[in-house]
Amino acid sequence: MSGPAIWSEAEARLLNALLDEIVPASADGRVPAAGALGVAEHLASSAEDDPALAALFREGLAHAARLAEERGAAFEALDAAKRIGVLEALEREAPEVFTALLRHTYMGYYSRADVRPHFGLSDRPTQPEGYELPEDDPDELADMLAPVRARSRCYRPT
Amino acid sequence: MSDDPVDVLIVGAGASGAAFAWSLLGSRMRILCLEQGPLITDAAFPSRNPDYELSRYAEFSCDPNVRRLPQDYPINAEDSPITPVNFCAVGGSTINFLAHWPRLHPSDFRARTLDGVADDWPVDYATLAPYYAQNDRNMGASGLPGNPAYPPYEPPLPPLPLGKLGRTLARGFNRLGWHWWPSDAAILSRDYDGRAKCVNAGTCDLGCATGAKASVNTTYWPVLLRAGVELRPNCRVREITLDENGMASGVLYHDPEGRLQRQRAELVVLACNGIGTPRLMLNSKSKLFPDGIANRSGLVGKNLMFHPLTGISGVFDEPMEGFKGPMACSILSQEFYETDPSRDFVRGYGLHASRWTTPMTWALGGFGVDKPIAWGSEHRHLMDEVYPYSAGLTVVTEDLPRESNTVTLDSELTDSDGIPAPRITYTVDDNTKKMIAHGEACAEEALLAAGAKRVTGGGREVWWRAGWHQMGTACMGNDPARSVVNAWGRCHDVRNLFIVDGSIFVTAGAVNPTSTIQALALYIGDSILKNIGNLFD
Ligand SMILES: Cc1cc2nc3c(=O)[nH]c(=O)nc-3n(C[C@H](O)[C@H](O)[C@H](O)COP(=O)(O)OP(=O)(O)OC[C@H]3O[C@@H](n4cnc5c(N)ncnc54)[C@H](O)[C@@H]3O)c2cc1C
Ligand code: SF4
Repeated sequence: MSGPAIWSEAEARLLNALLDEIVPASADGRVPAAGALGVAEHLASSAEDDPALAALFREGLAHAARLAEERGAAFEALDAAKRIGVLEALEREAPEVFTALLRHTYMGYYSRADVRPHFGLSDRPTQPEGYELPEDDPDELADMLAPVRARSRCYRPT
Repeated sequence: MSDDPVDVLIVGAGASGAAFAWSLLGSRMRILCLEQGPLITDAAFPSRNPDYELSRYAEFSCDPNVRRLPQDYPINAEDSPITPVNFCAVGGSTINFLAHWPRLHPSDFRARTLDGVADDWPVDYATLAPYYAQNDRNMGASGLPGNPAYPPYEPPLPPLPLGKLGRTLARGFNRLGWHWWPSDAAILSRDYDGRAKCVNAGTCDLGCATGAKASVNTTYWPVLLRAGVELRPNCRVREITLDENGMASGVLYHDPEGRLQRQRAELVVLACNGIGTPRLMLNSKSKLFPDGIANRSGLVGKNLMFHPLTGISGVFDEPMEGFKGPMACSILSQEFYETDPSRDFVRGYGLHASRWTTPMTWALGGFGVDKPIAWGSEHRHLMDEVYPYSAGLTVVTEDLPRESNTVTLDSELTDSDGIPAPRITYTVDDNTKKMIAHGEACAEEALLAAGAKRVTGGGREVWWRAGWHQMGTACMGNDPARSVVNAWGRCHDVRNLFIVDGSIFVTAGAVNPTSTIQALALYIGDSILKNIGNLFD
């Protein structure tokens, strides 16, 4: 995948690999990981509107690259355990950067219409169609509430 | 814009301002409302966009410090574990509110007499009951009559569906023999008054494009505009002005171009919510009132109350489908609402079965929280195996008034017109902390009784972005030394200045406040009409 313009190709590769670790693919494989799904584009567009955020992301990428080098290779070339080690170290050493990365990854991932159906939600906007929710049968509701009604009043006299 | 004096000038076009204006419609008074926010239509609501959830963290956040729109005022909440949230537009915070619609209990108006804490209100439940009912008709409220937690009343529309989540939790309460009832909601369960019923979209905080949720821009405002009430959006009031007799003469406000204008009025009515109203009063300094208008008691901005809350969730065997149906309104247990001398706290709390929210918000920590969940394989586990199977209970506690919980003016922060912004200084008191501990334990018991395999959450932490309800900052009372307004909302110190929002609450109860805020606003309007002959005596 080509990287969004705001990052170099190397940064984009690193970012995609980081995103794949942050939100991996679902166990059934039906929902791809965040990097594979293109969530980097969401991060890029958020950063474009917000220079402070862009700086945080860039700092995070540089920091992750350093941590990977300390483990002997580019992040993408490390084995899974070492990649997780890099992220754990980033979380410990740069919590502000890491939280920003998590927040924006989750926002980019879960704002996608093609991810929502995995959780039972519609891929449509919630309005105007909404969801089917059957009305409660009044008799059944009355049965459910019978023990509550049977109690004496439960507010204090004044 | 004309400076012709109006009879009644209302500041704020939200829940309370709209209801109050309605109460004067028969009077032929010339009514003007100034609102700092714009007039928005349902086409602007993000629930119609494919990436609707993103708006919750941007221009449709309930947090003005996140939205940062020109019509918003920033709020410095560095000294508070809870940050106030709102919306600034015609409709006020009812644009993004969740429309849960419980009333206060009769005992809430008598905390001093019954429990020896806080103060009694100068009005009681019986006085407000007809106004609650009128407002329920005006807004279109749904609910089931017969709740043993209240004196009898009948919502105009039948209850909303409980949904799978509500039914599951109700079984738990029944197993324990605890009170629960289908939630009252200011949401239509049937088509009503030209508005369509709820389609169970579940994102009520992103604006209800269907119009089923009773935002006052869909309920009161169309009626008010047809009746000739003048509404000026994008007009922010800077200061309430005084005449030589110490009566309010009108206001200074910034027009949509930011220019300062003067508007004269016979009556000035504040409806800016529990933070905006004391802020405006504190910003209205004069020789007569160097500490802010109508503040001889020193209580303007004091006694700020929220409803500190926390949540516990249970993980069940089947998907709970919590994203279907109005977010906040399913069932409500008031088993622990009234004072019980055997507990280590006075007053009480409610257990609210909120529906579960959409995946992004869950991944970011939940509605009202700002703490992203775990990443990596744990993330997948939480999202795939916990989120869909979860149902939660929110512990909504009563906050007691304390003078140390305050709204003051920030020395540096301002809004886009350069007006000093509010600063919040607030701590959660020990009584509330005990309620939260008790509530977490009981919520856990109820979830397990309902069949949860395990429970998560709690830890005694109150939610941060949950200052939804703002009360007490210009309280009512009969004694001018211990209150700001009298029993019908008139400032003791300035007899043509009225307050109609939640600032005037004496206590907070442990329920969402808006049905009470509006009932009070209608009552105050009626009282003005009844006292019109000697209004300023
Ligand atoms: C996310 C969220 C969920 C909520 N859920 C519920 C719920 O389920 N049930 C419930 O009962 N309540 C709920 N609430 C609270 C409810 O919205 C408020 O209690 C209610 O709207 C308060 O009415 P109000 O008229 O006092 O203030 P608002 O409705 O907030 O209106 C005040 C208006 O005054 C304007 N204003 C302020 N200052 C100025 C000024 N200087 N000049 C001009 N205009 C000004 C503001 O722009 C605003 O439009 C919720 C609130 C939020 C934010
Ligand atoms: S759930 Fe109902 S009330 Fe809430 S936004 Fe959807 S249609 Fe409106």
